[in-house]
Amino acid sequence: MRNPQEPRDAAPAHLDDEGVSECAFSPEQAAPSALEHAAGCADCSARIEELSRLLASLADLPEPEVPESVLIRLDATVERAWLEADAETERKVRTERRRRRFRAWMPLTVPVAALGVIVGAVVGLSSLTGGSSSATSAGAPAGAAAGSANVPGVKPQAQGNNEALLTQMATAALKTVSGANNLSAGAAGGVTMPVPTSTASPSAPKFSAMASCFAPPTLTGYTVAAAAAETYSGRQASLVVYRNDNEPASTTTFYAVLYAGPCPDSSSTVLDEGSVSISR
Amino acid sequence: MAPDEGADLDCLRRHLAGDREAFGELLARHRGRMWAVALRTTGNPEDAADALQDAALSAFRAAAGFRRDSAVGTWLYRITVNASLDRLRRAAARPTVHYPDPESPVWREATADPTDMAEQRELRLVLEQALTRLPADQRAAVVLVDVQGLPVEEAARVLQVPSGTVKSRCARGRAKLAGILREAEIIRAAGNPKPDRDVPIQIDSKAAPPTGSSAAPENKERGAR
Repeated sequence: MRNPQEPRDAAPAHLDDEGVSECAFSPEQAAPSALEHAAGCADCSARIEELSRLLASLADLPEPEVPESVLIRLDATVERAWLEADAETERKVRTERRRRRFRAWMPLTVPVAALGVIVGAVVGLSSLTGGSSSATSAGAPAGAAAGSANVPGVKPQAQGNNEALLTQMATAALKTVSGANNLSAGAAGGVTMPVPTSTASPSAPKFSAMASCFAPPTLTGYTVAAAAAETYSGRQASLVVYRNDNEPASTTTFYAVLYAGPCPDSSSTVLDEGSVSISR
Repeated sequence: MAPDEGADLDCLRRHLAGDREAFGELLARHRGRMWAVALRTTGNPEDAADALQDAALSAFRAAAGFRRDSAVGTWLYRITVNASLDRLRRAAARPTVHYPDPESPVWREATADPTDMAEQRELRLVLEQALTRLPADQRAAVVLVDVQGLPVEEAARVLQVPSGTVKSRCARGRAKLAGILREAEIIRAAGNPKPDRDVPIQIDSKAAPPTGSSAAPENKERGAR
């Protein structure tokens, strides 16, 4: 540790703190010049000796005992950390479940959105062109709706689907067919149109004889299972019950269409339609 | 790999696998040293207890990110020192900073050693108190290297500073400590002409002989061991 201002042959300056520290703590790593100086300097060697004693005392300090209160706090801390970790895991699991559900539905989002746009557009156009609606009931067979190639010109009315009323009408019509079939064997297949013979009680649907002009509109893939003259909102109407050709003859699920007027054809207004499930 | 290190790693592995006891086992292996570092770095048992709690929580949360670029013990030391220095910073922001009072029962309990001989307590208490008078960075370096016995390189990893910085902080801290003890005549350097007897160091007068000619040679002898 030579002062650069001093001539080379002058007595070197005392060691600085780092020099003393190095000589006391790790003399093997100390600069030879520092050790050489310390060997010939009473002040510096005294400081080194003093520091060596200090280092020995510091190294001798015992490890303090951890107080009981601190141990209790540590245990509680670990317990709390586990609770937090459990809550975090639960949160991640929930997030992952939501993400998976979203992923599962994601491929359907584009088609569903497209369908929504199409339905919206059709409804909008319908309302612009006279208030008729293309809304169809769930389970409608292909071609039952307006614009169908199979039933061209059939325009369902936006009367709202009254499933209970349709079911009631269809059940009555099918029972009539069943009764007729019982009386005249060989009518199975359903294409023979029964002609209701009475108007029954005042509370029952009012039947009138099917007009001679009655010819139920056909639907591809469906067979006419029954038909009946009905009154709907005070107007004459014709109910036609269709059975899907893929269903067995004993099926209880039919598709009922209520056409306006006593002599419906492919251009008749559809007052109501929908799947009906009857109990035998 | 040292056997202790293997056991530490095993505790960490089991902890990460969901073993509810493993982290407690790891803490039990290291809490004594962690407490010593926290106590001596913060300088008072209250902040040390808070720092140790912070450190345990930090280690628990960071266990998954432990990379084996250092020993588990070094990693825990680093977390403890950081938590202690953080507590010190918060304490510095408080209106009053309290240093340990050797008369305080809390301090006595915190530094109690059942094997302590009465004549050793004076030196220990003065040393402990002198440590608290060092600037925090020097104190942490001296505690790790000179008290806990970490190699300079490992202390550098704990403090995340270069080894040269650790040496420099230790050198300055040791010089200050020597000055404080010289003033208290605890360690009397040869050729120290005028020890200052008026320094505000509190000595436990009930448990230890008063600082004076009778105590100095004994301490000198202890220090020379």
